[in-house]
Amino acid sequence: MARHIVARVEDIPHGGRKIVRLEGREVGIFNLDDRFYALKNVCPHQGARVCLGRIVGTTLPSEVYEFKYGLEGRILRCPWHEWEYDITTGRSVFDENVRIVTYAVEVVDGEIAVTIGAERPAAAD
Amino acid sequence: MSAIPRSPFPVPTSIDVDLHPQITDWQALAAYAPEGLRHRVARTGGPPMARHGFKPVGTAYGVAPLPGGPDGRVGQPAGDPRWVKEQYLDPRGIELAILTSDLTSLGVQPNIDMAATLARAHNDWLLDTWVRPFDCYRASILVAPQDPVQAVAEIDRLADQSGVVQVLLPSATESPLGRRQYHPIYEACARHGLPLALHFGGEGAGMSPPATAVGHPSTYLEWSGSLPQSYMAHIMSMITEGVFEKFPTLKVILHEGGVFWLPHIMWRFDKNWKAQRAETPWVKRPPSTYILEHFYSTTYPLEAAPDPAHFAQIFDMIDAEHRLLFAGNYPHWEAGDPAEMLDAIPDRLRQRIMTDNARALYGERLGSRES
Repeated sequence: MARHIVARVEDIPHGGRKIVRLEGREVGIFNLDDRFYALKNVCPHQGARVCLGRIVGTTLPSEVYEFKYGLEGRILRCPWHEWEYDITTGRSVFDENVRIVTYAVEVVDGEIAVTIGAERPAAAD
Repeated sequence: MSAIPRSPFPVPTSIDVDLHPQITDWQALAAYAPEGLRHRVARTGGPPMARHGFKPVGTAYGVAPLPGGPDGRVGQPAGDPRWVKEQYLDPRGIELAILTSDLTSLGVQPNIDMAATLARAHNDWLLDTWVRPFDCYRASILVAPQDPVQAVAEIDRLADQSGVVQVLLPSATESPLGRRQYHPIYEACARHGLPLALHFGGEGAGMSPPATAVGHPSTYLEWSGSLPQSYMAHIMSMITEGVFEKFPTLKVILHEGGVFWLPHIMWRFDKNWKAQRAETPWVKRPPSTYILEHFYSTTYPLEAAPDPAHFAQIFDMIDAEHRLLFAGNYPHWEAGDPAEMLDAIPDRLRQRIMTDNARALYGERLGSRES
């Protein structure tokens, strides 16, 4: 396991992201309300650079003909096939077993640190 | 007598989920119509009906056993329930036959009160002349979906009658069947525990959209070959409009549609849903799971795939072990004898398809009639 300082908190504004390269892979660092999340920049579907996707909300599971919009700023849509992922968990909206690799993040003295080597593997289905 | 029974099916008994009683005497049916419309039902040849205008080349009955005169030809062979039992069911070991109807274009007749009247009269006539006198027949409640209020009333009126096992909805309709105006019909089916059978017939006629997605076909060959398009559209509509989220116990039987196109829509639909699910957030599971849980297919007519190995694969894809039902489609045998279709069925699935799946689907209703 290796801990990497990837940014200072002021480098990534609310709703923003930063793509970094750590040990040969790209990782997206996201700021949601001053909490930071790190996702591998690989969609488990076809390998797209998923962290470049739009950050949006989505309609939540609902009754028939009911529309409940939520999770604004928390949904990452893959730029290739529009699959939706929850940035805070890496899991897809349509199947929680489909997930992007996530990395542990901690903030110490204003520095954002990502740990490589302890992550759960990705799963496509 | 032209009836020469083919060899019996290789199971002791079977359940045929599609037999079409034919109306040979409209006066008899008219007796069940309300007084104000009785004179119109009683017309020779029946009331005015919008039709699509396609007919098979030659006889529509193919190799079906036919009653009749010296030349062996009759207008409508399935007119006499006793003859059909003795000449079709008994020689083939068919224990029970679920009666559908010959009024399969009812759902696109522009006169909606006449359509509702015909449905009611047909249902009462069928119960009185076919179902109550014979142990071997079970009834569908035919409904005209143009007016869902009358359709629901008809389901409520007959659901508890002995011998009734399902609701029959002609698949040619004004709109895709997921549209919410039809939901009360599904609510009634679910409330009474009645499966819903869809049957082709009026595609392209009357108030129907064209029978294909690109317009009106020119010939019967084109028309009949294109019919699964309407099932594809109905299935996608029912799933995306949330019918099975609202009515999770509803089961739907797709008559005469074949099976090879089903995996296509299952997997195309699943793939698209992963990206587009936000549009219909009540569709909470991959669309194929609704198809495999709620839809049944029948054996008449199965596609004529050239390699038997293809059937084994397709039966696996559509869970034929639980979702395929034997259908005889008597007397509309323009696609051949129903026994021919069974050649494709592996031995291990035979019992399931010939009887067990129907028993599991219809449950106690199949045996509920006091004989």
